[in-house]
Amino acid sequence: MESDKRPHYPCDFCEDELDLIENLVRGNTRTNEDSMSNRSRRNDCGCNDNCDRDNCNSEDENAASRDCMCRCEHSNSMSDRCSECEMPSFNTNTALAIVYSPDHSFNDMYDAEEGLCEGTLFRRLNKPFEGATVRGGGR
Amino acid sequence: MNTHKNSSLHALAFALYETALYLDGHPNDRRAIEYYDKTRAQYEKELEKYERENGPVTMNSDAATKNGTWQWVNTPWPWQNEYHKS
Repeated sequence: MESDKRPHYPCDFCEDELDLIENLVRGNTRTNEDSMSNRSRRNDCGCNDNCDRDNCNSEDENAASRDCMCRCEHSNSMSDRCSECEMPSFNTNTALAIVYSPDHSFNDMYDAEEGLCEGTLFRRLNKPFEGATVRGGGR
Repeated sequence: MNTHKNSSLHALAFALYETALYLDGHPNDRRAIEYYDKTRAQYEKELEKYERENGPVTMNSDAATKNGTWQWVNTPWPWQNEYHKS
């Protein structure tokens, strides 16, 4: 059936990748390590041979170009998307430091005086630096 | 929509600038346009009031050539008037 051919979205590996990214964003290093362990166990470097991350013996030139890092098995170095589920894949061609930003809506605002004091007119953009409080235990 | 009841000229200018930056990315946002227009009207009103009492805020202000003289150098600088006491 046609529906049977449709890829699961996201595929299992891309789902792991999304978990990894989410944990990175949240700074959850312990869970990052768990995710990395899962990836290592999968030995999912993109080639079909038995290989490990440090010693790839694949004849797949795409795998070689990926340095045999554990990446989505469905991706290749010529594409930024998983061929199975269309999720963006983070291969060696993925540009660094490209971020997303949700659309900004014109609401939840300070009045002019408070905005001037806070440094922004928009409450949702008010991100005071709290590192000193967290690290130093108080100001 | 916020209104600015007793906002200073400085705060109104800041609100205008913030809204202008927002409008750069959302040029068709009607609420933002409406807010900008209202804030600008109040800014103009407060500017006129301030310049009447203290002289021109900027060199290219209408108040700079008031009464046929160059007011820019003939009115107190911010640190010379009552600005900081208000």
